Amino acid sequence: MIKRQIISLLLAMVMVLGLTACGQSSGKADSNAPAPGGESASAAPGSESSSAAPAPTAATPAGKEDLIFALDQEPASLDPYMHSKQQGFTVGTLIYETLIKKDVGGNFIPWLATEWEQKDETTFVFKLRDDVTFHDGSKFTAEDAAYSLVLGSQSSFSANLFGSIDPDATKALDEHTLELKLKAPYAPLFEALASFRGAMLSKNARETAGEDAFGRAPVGTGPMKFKDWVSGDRIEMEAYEGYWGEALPFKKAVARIIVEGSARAIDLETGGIDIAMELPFSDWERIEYNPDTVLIAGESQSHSFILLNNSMEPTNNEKVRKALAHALDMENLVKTAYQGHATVADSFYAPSILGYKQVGPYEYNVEKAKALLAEAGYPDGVKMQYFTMENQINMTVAEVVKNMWGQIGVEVDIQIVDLATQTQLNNDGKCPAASMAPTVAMADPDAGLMIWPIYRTISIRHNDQHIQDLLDKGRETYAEADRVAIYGELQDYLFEKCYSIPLAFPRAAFGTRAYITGLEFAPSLVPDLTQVKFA
Amino acid sequence: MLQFVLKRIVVTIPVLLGVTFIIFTMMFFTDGDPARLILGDDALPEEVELLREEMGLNDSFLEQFLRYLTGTLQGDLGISYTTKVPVTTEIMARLPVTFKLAVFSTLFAICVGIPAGIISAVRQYSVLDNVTMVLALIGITMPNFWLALLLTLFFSVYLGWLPASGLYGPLYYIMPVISISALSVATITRMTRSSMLEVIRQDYIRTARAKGQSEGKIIFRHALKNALIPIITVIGIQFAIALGGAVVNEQVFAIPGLGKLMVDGIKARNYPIVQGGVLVIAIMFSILNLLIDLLYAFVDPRIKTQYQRSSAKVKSAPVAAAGKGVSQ
Repeated sequence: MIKRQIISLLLAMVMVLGLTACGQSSGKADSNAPAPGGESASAAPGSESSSAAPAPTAATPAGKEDLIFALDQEPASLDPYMHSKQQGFTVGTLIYETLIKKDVGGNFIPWLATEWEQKDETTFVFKLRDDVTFHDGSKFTAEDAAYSLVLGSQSSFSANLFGSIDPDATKALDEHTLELKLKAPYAPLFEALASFRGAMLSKNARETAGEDAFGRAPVGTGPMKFKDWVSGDRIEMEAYEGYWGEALPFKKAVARIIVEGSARAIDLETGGIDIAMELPFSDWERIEYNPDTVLIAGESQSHSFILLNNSMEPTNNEKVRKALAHALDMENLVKTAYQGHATVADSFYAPSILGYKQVGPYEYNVEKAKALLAEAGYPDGVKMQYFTMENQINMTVAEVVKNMWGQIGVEVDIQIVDLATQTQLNNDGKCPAASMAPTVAMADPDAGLMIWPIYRTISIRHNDQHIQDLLDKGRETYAEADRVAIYGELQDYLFEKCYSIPLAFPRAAFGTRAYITGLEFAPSLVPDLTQVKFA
Repeated sequence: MLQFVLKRIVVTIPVLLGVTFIIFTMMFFTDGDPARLILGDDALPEEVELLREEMGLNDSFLEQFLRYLTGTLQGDLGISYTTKVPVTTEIMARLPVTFKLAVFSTLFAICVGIPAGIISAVRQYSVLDNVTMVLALIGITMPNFWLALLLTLFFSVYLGWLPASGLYGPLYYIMPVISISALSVATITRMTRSSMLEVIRQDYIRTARAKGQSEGKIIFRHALKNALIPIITVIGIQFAIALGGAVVNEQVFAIPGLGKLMVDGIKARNYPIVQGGVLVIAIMFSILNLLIDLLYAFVDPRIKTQYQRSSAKVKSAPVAAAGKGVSQ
């Protein structure tokens, strides 16, 4: 009897082992792939596709006419002025177009607008193409352009980019001439217009459908037109026959919603999808060394920082803030939290944005930190709360920060909250400290520094007019050299005051099948899907 | 019998009202402002205030609850805060998916679990029995998430036989169904085994054997039928759980189900979605419970007579009867 039991147990174990071995061997197959060059995903900022990976072998499947890409979150709306989520804008790159675009060299090039002229500090005149139609067949006119931009200036989702546009004076001069009026000089205007956020939409379609319905069934001028939206599952688009420009190599596009990161990666590896957005760090290596897939990685234009509350004890004391900054071993903190896929933030916005100046990081010096804390009146240490959301990076940062601050006698009480709670506490000014990584809406210092305006309600609450003055000056100055000087001064000033501590410039990646070419990494994390070509 | 059913339906109404009230209260007093979440950190306080006013979030608790209740009674569950789509539309888009998955995985669990349990019981302590029990133990203890990932790695990445995610055809159902039903298969197997073991030792089984009845008839007609009551209970519970949405599996296999909708709703403080979802699930639970109680009557005539007798004084007769069914 006992013998029988032992045999059956052994049998069961063999079965289990068999199952796990199969799982492992598939993983091994990937890591055993040739790895010339070694670490391509860790060096050099800016964008580069993974050149160290083996040469792509897969050809485009015969007769392929669709593009399937996977988003990590379902957009709430596809109306570019009614949301601020990158997933919605990614879909939007196929459906909408902008007046101007930015080329690889950083120059603004004509798109829906053929030429433009600056009349004075606050007046711009744009000549528009006359061969452009919306997906409902109606003509794209200056009336639609004015409508879109005025909408942008008034919606609370996009006012941070277009709020300077004067909604009353911006108007169509004739069918193809748009006069754009500003309330005050606004240097980032062209950057904002060229970003996917300045999309042109049909006035008639939006007014007929209503703003909620339009967001679920948008009408733009882009090469693909909206077809269907299956809640929680996918958004379908099809080629727009009347498109004025060159048709895309695919006739159908499907945005699938696959929230789980590793599931997106697996789906890409098995060929279920062509492009996977926002891959988690743990999947980078597999996608990179798989001959059928390509990893496109680069540095994001958003950065993360450790928020300190300047309207609350003890962080309203500059010495305490500096003590906290000097107590952090940034190199190790960032390496641990971002698994080597980020660099230490040495300033207050990303290096890819105009006027970036290296000012930090704060020197790691525990003795100095202790001394500063004692000087500030806390020789025996102090207690603090630290808020974190339940995702791996933030949790790791919180743990490491607690440890490092503990060494200078600051006792950290970590509070794990969800996004909703954190957002509310943060905007009520009740968040004592937390790590945050807000999305920078466009590659301009004005957006890069968006957490700093004095009217912002998030818990930094520095109440420092000098910051606001410099921000205003930078916004109103058109001459690039002058702007760089202004923002340089501001970054120095922020470093000196230490109202918050810059944390990391993280890298991000998306993956494609090897037969997808032409797609480049976008620091905004919204890749222009109209670039996609099939090999 | 009809009277019994009607009474049970009437009893369901206060349950649903209670569920509505509790979930509304819970959401109301949870931290987090939906208006601020929709507009994001960039919005000015005035804008948030304006949206709160528009959404009716500034009204008192009672006003908001009564407004919700009147809407619900008229079949209007409100409009999703985030997508601005009616909640009924959102739920009806997800419900068929979740329902299909729940039905398939429960059927799968029954088809595998009951035979496995019977074999285990009939051949107690045999190799087969031991293997089955070890597998059942693994099925119960293995984290669902892990099993789902293991399945995708094996069948999609390694073998390339099955699509990794989505729900666009019969093949797509295989892995989610296996993964969702793993726990049910194991539970049903164990329940069938223990219930059968108990029945097999009864005198009437010995009598059946003594009168020369064939083994097959003994097992299926005499033993299984009498062992079925607790198994049905377990199946009912497992089915109800599956109907509530298998959040983890929906996430791994990118399936647009009810569980995912509700979890997203909670994260976004999308009150109408959460309330609507919970209400629908509560209704399904009630119906399911009633169906299971009725099923008892078909399996066990003793319970049927109790329903008929007790229909005058509705009490939890089925439960008591079910208990008796096992011990007798």
